[in-house]
Amino acid sequence: MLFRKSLSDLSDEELVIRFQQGESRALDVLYQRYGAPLLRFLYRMLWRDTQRAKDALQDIFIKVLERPMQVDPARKFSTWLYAVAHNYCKNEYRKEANRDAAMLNQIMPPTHADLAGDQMDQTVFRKALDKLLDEEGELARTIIVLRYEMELELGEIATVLNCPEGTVKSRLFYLRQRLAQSLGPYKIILEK
Amino acid sequence: MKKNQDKLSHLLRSFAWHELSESDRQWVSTLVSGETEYEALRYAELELLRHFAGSEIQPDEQLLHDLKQRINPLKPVQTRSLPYYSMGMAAALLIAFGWWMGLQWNQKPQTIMPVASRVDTVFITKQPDTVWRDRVVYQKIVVASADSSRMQPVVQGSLPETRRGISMKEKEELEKLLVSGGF
Repeated sequence: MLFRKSLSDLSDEELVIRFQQGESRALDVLYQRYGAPLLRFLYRMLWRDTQRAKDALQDIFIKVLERPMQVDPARKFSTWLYAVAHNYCKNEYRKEANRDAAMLNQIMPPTHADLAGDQMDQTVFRKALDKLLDEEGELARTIIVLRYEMELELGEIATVLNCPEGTVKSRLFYLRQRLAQSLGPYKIILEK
Repeated sequence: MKKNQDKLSHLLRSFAWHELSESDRQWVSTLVSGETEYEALRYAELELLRHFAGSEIQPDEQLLHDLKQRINPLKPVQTRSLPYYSMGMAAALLIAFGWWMGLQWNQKPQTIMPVASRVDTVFITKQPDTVWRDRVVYQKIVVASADSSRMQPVVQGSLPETRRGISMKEKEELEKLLVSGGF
């Protein structure tokens, strides 16, 4: 076609405009690009609740697509999308403050029984790691998910969180240190 | 190496303590206390990578379908691909229209006023104290021809007082006065 590029060749911003002009297939392409990573982000951030993550995904897509005028042209669409998702999660935390506190209270350090050789497998370890991440504050958890799940650069993470890049770096470093200390016992058992 | 990792992440993911070069080991030593801490950090880093690499959740088609149900595109309009020659045709039409408008714009209205002359009035004057007694003055006036549709009306200006004609009655009265010598 001489005058119209294929939808998959368009940038994210162009796709949003096309969708606004009534081309519903633009949503399919945006969903293909961002549906999976955004859902994983939300799943990690919203207590690993699949249904909640799916609802949040819909809400965020609707927010982004129905109010494209809020898109800052100087900002990457993906960064803006994650910033919207991050704010959504913060609101959810606020709403569910009691539940969050209750959940965090349930997190216990690994017991001797947990660390008993036969019972200790990767599933238990993964659950324990999830708990350790939940113990971290909202900001640290977001940094971890954006870094390891979404594989964003440190600069992008700083943009999403609207904080200096140095803050992200230092937070990440201290977070690794805390996790290293907490995972020490698991390492010994798993290596045995 | 994954894109744009910071240096420490890169080293933790790639090298054990004993695999680090001397310069890297010196640099790492500014951040960690020694081999034990480095290895603990490396373990945490690798476990985090493994942990997040195995995300089992995936969006499905039903989710997209539900999303479409909820989203109402603002002001949907029909979008259709135009034939390849349509832009050329539109440009040609635009140029032609502009050219025609330019012609119309520069054209000044012209007034056509055909002129014909005819004898209108006979003036007879009589001056008793001059050598000539009678004179006939033929006054020519300009009139527009009747067949012109763009004819402008001819305004016949008022003639000077001395050149206005007189009626027969006035003439007779004047002659009476002359005879009687009262003028």
